[in-house]
Amino acid sequence: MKRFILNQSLSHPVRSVILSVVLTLLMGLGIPYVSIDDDLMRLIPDNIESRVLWEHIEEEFGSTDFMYAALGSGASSALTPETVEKLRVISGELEDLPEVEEVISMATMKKIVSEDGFMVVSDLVPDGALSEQDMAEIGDYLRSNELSSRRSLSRDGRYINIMVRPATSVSQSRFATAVLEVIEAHRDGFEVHYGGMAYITGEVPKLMLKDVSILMRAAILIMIVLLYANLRSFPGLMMILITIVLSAASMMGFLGWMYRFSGGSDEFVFSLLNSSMPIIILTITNSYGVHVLTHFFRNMRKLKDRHRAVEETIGNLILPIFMAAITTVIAFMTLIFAPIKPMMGYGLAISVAVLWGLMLSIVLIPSLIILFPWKEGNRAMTRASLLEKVINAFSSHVLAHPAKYFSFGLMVVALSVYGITLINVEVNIMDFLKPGNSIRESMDFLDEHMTGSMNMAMKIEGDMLDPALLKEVEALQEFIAQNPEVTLTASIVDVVKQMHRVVMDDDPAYESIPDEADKVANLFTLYSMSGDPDDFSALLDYDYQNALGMVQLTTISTKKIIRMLEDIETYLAEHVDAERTQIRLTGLMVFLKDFAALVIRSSMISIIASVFLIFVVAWIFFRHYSWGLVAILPLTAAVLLNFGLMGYFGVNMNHVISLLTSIIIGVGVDFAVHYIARFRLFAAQDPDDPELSLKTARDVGYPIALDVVSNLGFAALLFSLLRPLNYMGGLSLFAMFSSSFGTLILLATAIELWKKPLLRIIEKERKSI
Amino acid sequence: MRKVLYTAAVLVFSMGFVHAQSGRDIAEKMDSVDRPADMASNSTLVLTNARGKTQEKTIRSLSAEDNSRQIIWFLAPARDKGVAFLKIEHSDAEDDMLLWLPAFKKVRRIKSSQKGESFMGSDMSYEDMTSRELSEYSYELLGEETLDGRLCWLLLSIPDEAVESSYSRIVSWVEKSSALPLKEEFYDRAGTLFKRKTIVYKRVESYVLPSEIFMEDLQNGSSTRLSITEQEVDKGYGEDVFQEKNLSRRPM
Repeated sequence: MKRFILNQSLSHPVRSVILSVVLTLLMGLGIPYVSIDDDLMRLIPDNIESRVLWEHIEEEFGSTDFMYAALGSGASSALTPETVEKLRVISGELEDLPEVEEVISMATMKKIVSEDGFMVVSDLVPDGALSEQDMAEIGDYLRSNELSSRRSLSRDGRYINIMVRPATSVSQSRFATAVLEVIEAHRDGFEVHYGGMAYITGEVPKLMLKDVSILMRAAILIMIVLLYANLRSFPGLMMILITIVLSAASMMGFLGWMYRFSGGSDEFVFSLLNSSMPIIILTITNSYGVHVLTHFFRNMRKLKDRHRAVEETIGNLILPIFMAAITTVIAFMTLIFAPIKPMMGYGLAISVAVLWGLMLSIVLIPSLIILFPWKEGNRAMTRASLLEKVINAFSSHVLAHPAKYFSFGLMVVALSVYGITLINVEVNIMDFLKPGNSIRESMDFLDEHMTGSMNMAMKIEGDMLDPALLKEVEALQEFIAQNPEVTLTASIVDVVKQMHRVVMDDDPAYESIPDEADKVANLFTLYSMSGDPDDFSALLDYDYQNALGMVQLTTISTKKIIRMLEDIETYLAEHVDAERTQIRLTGLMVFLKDFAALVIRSSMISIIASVFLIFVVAWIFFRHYSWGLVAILPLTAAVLLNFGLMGYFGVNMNHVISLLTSIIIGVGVDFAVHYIARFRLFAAQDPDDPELSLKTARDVGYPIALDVVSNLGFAALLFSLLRPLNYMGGLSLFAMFSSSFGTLILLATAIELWKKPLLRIIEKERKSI
Repeated sequence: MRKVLYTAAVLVFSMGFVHAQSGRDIAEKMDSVDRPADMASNSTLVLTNARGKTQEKTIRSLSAEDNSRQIIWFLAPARDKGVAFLKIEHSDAEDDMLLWLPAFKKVRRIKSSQKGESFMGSDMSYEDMTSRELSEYSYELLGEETLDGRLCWLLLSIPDEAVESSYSRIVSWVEKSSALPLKEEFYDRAGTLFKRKTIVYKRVESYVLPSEIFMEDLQNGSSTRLSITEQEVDKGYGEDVFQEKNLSRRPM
């Protein structure tokens, strides 16, 4: 097999290059079918309990997660004819959008008042040209109706609130874009701030994709510069880049073809989570290319013959690269079982690209090497680079004191294990946006001046005509309102109280729940006949058995939302008759929390499963379990180090980080397998060589170091104002450093310290063959 | 030559005849269709919201003077039973709308600022429930069309600027043989198609009266089906029937 592969590049280089390009092109033809989907909802499994409840509420009452906009002209009061007229125009245009189900603003509100014995139902904002007198009347009404006032005006009265409810069938991304288009077209001379989960979940993915495309270009540019500085060979650099580009093309093409052949299956969309795929495939295939090129240059320095150098390079590297690819594929294939649909396509597409990257590294690169007219005296082939010299000196030092460095490494890992206990799981989506980000600033504004930018829905089940039930709901609303983050609660109870007051000649003493069910029924009938039927059906179903309550909140952390929900559960158990009333709370923020917890759990399981599978594969390939244990040492250390440092530095654990941890697995296994394979090769050649470990470390150390250095470009992602991109950049760098630490310190010293038993295993293996 | 002149005269005459069938003529024909002086009926309203949920209400209604006086008693569902509604339209003043709330033993006067408000939470507005004043609209005959095998005029009605209406225009499919509208499409003030109404008729004594009205709100996806049964006509209900005191009395 090895011979056959070598022959492809040595004897048929042109054919191999053509075949590699043509086959990549065939796969790449699938790229136009890639379906980019930034709808966050598609990622969330539909069997999470809080989502099931949320969807049930959505089906009954429509969407409950609003987008908010605060509109002001900078004047001391928003109640000016110009601002309200602007609001009227915006509200009208928003209502006409198919993406919008409802607009709640002063311009769409009804006022129901008792006037000279009449119950008057009218628009809060009258038709026609608006006058100062109209503004005064609106102000008077809002002053006497706290709920309406808090829903429609900022605390200081300088901004008008617009609440936009999405149509249920529309993605939040499409919805947010449509709403923004309308409002932005009218914002001239006005100040506008946006918020709400529908806005964040709709806008953040777009910002991410935009940022990622800019910063990735910077990262790749830096990578090219660093690679060239160290390789000192332009053709060598191009060969690595070609491998990366063709692998990435095969990955995207595969995803596209699968999307097409599966008839548009959710498993094969390119979602927000898939945006880490290019980075992963880039680091992995870069590593393969770097290994081949650095070994080739080194062999050329020694053998001075292109064919022999290629033969030597591929002959020695084919097994470690093949093993590294197989173990990486196995690690990524565990994602098939992840609870998030697009992760299946993620795992499969990366696996295909890794295998293709392997093929390109051992067939295409050698073929190109054979075909390229190398100049004699090329610096890459004549002299070791500075990095190579540094890493050789470093390895000499470490292996001169193996016990000391192994203990040091172990101590670091042990300290990391303690750090893991300090990890805080927190998926406050606002934490994804750094201060200075426009979305974050807008949301902060809504928290400070308006009723906040988040909300939860409260599903109330029972006989809504029963005054006892309504009183329980009223008491619960009061209990929830005690939380400092809660700015407003509203339900059908508030409508009943308002209607009761209106029926009783606007006497504030009657702003209460009537004591008889018949009276409640009459009030509902009155409301359904006088108000907008849509307003009514958004709060109460036709059978009067299900009602919807809303809780408005300022930005809240996962921890606080969990505590608040637990407090509410306790309150319900103690104060609400479960036979009569059933109340459950949900909302996008509640099930995003559940979703994130699920992702973290499944990622952790996937990491553990990957480590175990890598152990098994290494055991099988290297024919002894000890090699399996040695192989997982650096990546286990790197994973522990990663989580430990997160704990110490207070970096919150979230679903993005947990998913990106797989980069460490991919990189860590590659480094370890190369080290072990080289050690075994040198040991087989000369088991008595006292510098066996040093020889290995020097041989493998440079490509590992070059791989690390070339990935420094990902530091560009640290400059994004979006934290998920910081995590991507940070974790890519960290994966490189921690995996090289695990390999060049822990693995190298461990092999040196246990050299004798390991050599005995190799000897025994050699004899058995 | 004489033959040519004769043909031209016939053509001119025919064109004159076509012109005579203007939109206004058709509207007048519709307006002159024989209607009862008063009517009693039981009706079932089936409201379907945008999410497909339905609600049924049964009412007993008495009306006179082409619905300008109307009293409605709620018969079902049980929670609405006893609630009653009285409406008296005035041409020179705001309409009287009164609601009897039996649990409170109170009559509430409702003053709605807009004719476009929903009637009983349905997709029909108070405006939809009243007949259009002939003089308040301008008309245009758009053409002819066959609807369910029945030849219809396609009539465009545009409310005069002075008229308070939630519609910018109404297109009606008026059956040629009866001058009754079989279908109507309503456009909102922005000119977008808003509602569609289809009407089924039946003969009651000497009149042809609606037995089923189906109104769809094409913008929010809800609909209302009004099925009218047990129609009685010309019973002589006078002004004394349409009184506040009758709201709390059992339906006749």
